[in-house]
Amino acid sequence: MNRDAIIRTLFVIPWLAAISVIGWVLIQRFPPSGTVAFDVPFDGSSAWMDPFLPAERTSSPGLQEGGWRGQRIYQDPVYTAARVPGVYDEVEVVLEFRPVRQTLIEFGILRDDASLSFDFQPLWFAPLQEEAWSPASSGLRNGFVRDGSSDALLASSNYQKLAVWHASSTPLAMRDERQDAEKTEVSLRGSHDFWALPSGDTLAFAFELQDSNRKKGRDTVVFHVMKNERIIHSDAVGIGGSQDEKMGTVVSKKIEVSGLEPGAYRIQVIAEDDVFIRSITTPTRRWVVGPRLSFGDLVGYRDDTQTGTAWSDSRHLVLETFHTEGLQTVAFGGDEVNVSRTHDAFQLDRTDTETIPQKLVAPVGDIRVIGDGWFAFKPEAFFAPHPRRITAWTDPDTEGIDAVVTPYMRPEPLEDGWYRGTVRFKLDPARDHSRFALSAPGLLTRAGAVDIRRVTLTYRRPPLSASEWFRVVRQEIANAWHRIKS
Amino acid sequence: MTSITFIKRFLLHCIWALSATVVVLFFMEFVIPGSVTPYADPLPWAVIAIAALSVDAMIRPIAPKRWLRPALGIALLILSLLTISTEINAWGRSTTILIFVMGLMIGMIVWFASGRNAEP
Repeated sequence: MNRDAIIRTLFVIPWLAAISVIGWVLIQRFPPSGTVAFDVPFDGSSAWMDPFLPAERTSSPGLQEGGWRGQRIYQDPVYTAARVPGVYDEVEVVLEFRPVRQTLIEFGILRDDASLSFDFQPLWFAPLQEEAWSPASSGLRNGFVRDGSSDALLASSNYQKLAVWHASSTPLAMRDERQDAEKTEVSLRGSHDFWALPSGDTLAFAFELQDSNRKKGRDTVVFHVMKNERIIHSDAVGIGGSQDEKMGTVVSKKIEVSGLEPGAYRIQVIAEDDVFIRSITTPTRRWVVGPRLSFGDLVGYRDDTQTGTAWSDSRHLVLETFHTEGLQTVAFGGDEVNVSRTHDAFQLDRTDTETIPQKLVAPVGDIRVIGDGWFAFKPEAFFAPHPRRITAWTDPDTEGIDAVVTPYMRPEPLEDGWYRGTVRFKLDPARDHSRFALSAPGLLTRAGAVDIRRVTLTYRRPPLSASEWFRVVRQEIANAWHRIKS
Repeated sequence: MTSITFIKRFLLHCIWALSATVVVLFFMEFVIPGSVTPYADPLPWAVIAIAALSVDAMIRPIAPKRWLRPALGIALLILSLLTISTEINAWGRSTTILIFVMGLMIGMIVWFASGRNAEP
């Protein structure tokens, strides 16, 4: 080989460099291990994850007061987006965060653009960080148990002591003995959800309904009997005349379903606020209403007033009346609130540490109550059809909660109040971006904050094999075609 | 082959390899947004490639074609528009990339047409 030929081979060098650059970019897109990770300092400089928005709920990303770099969140919810670096099945998000006066934080991924529905995962719950709680599992249920309580509580249906957080509990499997029907006089207005145990194998509820005709026209009341959110029986009744203007006649409607398994059943009564339930007759001994309970007035039905009385395990109530006749002082356990204005929501929070249902008294009725528990019209009728859900206002100590069923993993404590928490989500391989939301309920009320200083995104799919390579390339082509078309 | 000749030809290969690489990267970015730019920014390299191709076309030993200078002007105009567009962000990302690829292709056509067979 002469000298010129050897020299000419040097001309290959720029082309080898070009191929290397293109190959390097391709390997970033198609890593043979199937895993790629990005460590993102949360100062707005990363191409892989955007800062949280909207801006009025956050600080500008970058250097913050106190000398740390990242972003401070003042109000929830806030949203961000991450660029997905290819076709991946799962993303693991590791957040370095610092909660300031905030008990609960959840982090979620957008699942449906149209309905803006997010799949949230637990990220932080301050009470479960305490030493009195330990991670535990029982059967298929994982969670946390208070020291001194049995792990078996997690798999039980003892809903007085159990709470759930992004998990499901063991279903209730109870029924009442077959007994004679009992009538309960009530004055309930509009839609209500009743929860009941079957009497023997039968669920039988007879409602006396009345159309107040304050809004002209005939009303239809729809009934659904449901178990585990599945409708097993439906019925409807029309009440009131189309031209009636006075209080209509009382109509009786019986809902009866037989051959039922033990468990908690939901009887959903769907009606406009023009419809009043005047009495309920049932052989079931344990039945409750909730979370909405609307005591109606008696105008046009009777000349007196009917005190609204119920027993509830709720810790927090929101009360509202729409008539001046409904202005009153409402008592709940040892606490009370003066509902002094119409069309204004009044909050009533229990301060006691009682774990048994407390008596709620609305002296003149005519008030709508929304609680975080259930309501019974007799104390012995009370039962909890579901365990309580952990919220930002849950205090396990005062509410008698001894076990929490949850996939929550305690965040790893770092220095100066910082924590490292991990959440994982399945990914839609057709998406170029993942949209996330951070929820910290009550953040503004508490004047709290959530600081974020670093995020690590780890995307995973199976290591590249011939079949996996084919799947990934096919999905990339499909995504590219979809993008070009749109 | 003299040293000068070798260096000139080596540089030509570098320019052409750079241009081809940038075109491939831009095509990847156009088809799969985010497949290139988070790792490497090809825009500065595209500017260098177009400038080098244009300069090479102008200093070729044979007389340039009549349309060479207007073509170079068009290429530069497109680059100017591109710069403005990225500043004011009036165009979408795909449009910007497409225009840049077009500018690069014009530069390469000019380079070929102005003296493909000439020895530098």
